[in-house]
Amino acid sequence: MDEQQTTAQNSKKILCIEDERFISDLYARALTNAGYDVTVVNDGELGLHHASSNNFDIILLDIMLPTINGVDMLYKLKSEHVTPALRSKVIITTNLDQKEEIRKQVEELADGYLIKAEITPKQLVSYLQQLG
Amino acid sequence: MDYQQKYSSQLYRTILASSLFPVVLSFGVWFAIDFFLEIDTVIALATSAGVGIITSITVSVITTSKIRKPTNLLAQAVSYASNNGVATAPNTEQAMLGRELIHGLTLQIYNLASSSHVTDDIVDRSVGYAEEHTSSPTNNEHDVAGTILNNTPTPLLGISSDLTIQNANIAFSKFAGVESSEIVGKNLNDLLELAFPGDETLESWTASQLDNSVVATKTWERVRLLKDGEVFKQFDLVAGYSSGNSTGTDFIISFFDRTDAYTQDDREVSFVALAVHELRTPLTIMRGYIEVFEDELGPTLNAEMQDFLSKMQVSAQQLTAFVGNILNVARVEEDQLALKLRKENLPSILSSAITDLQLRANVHGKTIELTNGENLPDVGADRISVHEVINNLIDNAIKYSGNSDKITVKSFINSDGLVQVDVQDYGIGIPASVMPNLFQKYHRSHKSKVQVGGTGLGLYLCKALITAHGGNIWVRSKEGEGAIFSFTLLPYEQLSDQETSGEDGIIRGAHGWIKNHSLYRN
Repeated sequence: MDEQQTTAQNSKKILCIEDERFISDLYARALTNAGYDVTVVNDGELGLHHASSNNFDIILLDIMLPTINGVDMLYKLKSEHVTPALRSKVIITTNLDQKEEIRKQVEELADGYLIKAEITPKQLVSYLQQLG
Repeated sequence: MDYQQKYSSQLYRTILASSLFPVVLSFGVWFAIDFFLEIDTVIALATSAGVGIITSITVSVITTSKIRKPTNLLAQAVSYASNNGVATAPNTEQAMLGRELIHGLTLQIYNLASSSHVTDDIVDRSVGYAEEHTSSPTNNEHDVAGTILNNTPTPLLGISSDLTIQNANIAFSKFAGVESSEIVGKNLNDLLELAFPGDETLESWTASQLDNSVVATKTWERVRLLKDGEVFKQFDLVAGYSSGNSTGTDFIISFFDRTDAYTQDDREVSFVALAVHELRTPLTIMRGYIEVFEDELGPTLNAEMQDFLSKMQVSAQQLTAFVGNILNVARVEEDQLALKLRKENLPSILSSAITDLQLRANVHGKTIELTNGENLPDVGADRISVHEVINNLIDNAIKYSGNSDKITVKSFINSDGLVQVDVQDYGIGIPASVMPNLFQKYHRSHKSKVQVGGTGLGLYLCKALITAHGGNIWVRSKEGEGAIFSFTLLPYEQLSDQETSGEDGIIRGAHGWIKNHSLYRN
């Protein structure tokens, strides 16, 4: 596993939880082109199931999702009771403006917060590359 | 009025009675003497004439005093209201003729007097009524003026120079939802959490009047009264100041409730925000696929097709900025936009903003020139917000630069030691008539409304954002010669001296409303 990470930084595994198919297609395309290993899930519960496997380096998490919304999922994933602790970095990708207090809580728990309309897929890639 | 008619007919009857009574009486005396007593007719006539004359004199003395009384009372009221050394208010109960009329007129005199600055005294004594009306008012003038104020439907407050409430009427206690016994003696800021839509708050205005004016009035629109952080009332506010009156009430404040109308406006902003939200997903997708096209098809396209692609890209970007603006205005309005001021390098923010706008400028045939002053200190800034401000200013410059093709952006340290950014265009300029309102919501240069699109929210947002940074934003322009929009930011060192910064930098709220901070406390 150590070997994998050192040999190819771009073979990082990304879970993209996004119910808007056009957007997930775009992200998957751009991220795959950049060398990431991308898994796309369009549903909240399924997303939580995948995320809990702790198999991903980065999780792109939408907030408006069927079955479980992103905020609830974030609380579940980052809860202290979860063992082992989640190793994935969670980046919220949303087009929804939150009330300031909710946004603050979400920002504290998540590792990043992006407004989808404000960035293009390429900008997402460069953001993730900077994240390391 | 009815009272006046009543008075006239009373007067008519009194005068008629007083002139007929002696005549009738003397005739009666003459008849009686002539009939029952065998006296010489001449003596009878003389007696009756004597009785007639004496009665006539007595009646006219009584009548005159009755008729004169109202005039005297009115004269006394006028003297009293104008403080001509008359210490007591007239007792209108003394008027036997036209009591109601005189009472009404006296009230009017006090009312007129209280609306001029000459006799704040009257108002002062009377506005204390809300406080004291439960205990029986002993003196009459108190009662009279108090009645006027408490029957006035407009909420009124009298406050002293240190913002201590001296008086309040009943309408005010209803309006503010405060018990009338809890009003007088309190500091205005302790009682009411007011938020003002501009830089000038009631408090800053009152403070500046004390030094500068004798008499002044000031009107605010869209003032908010907050309760537990929520907007409780929205209203227009008028404050009047007159200096040097002995009672300590320096300011009279009237509240004009507009809660319904203004709440409706707010709902419209929220609705627009909700609707605009829905644009974000399609926008994300369009921008994404345009990028795919540009990357994968771009090299194979001819110049014309590439230009088309650029135009699509620019338009999608512009629409994104527009959506961002509207949503941010909604957040500013709802007090939901928090800025994190961090130590930032301004030239790097400027050049990244300009890079983002370069394509748009190119499509419109404009060039953007950036010059950064030497040795600029780092500024305390919320990167995204400053980016948005520059974006708005350059976007305006592109829109309004007409046939000129140059836009210049300059950063430097100004004479106040602040970091200043100037965005200059050489286009159509701004008519003097619209300059004062330029940074207000929905305000746009009226001449250009037809030719140039826009929401009228951009500059309003810029102002809210820059103000939250502790900076200033302003414009200089001559019609036909372009405009220079300038804003300032504080050097980070200066900002961090003022506030302790947390891990997240310095948190500031950007809101369209400025609270009536107390200068005197904390």
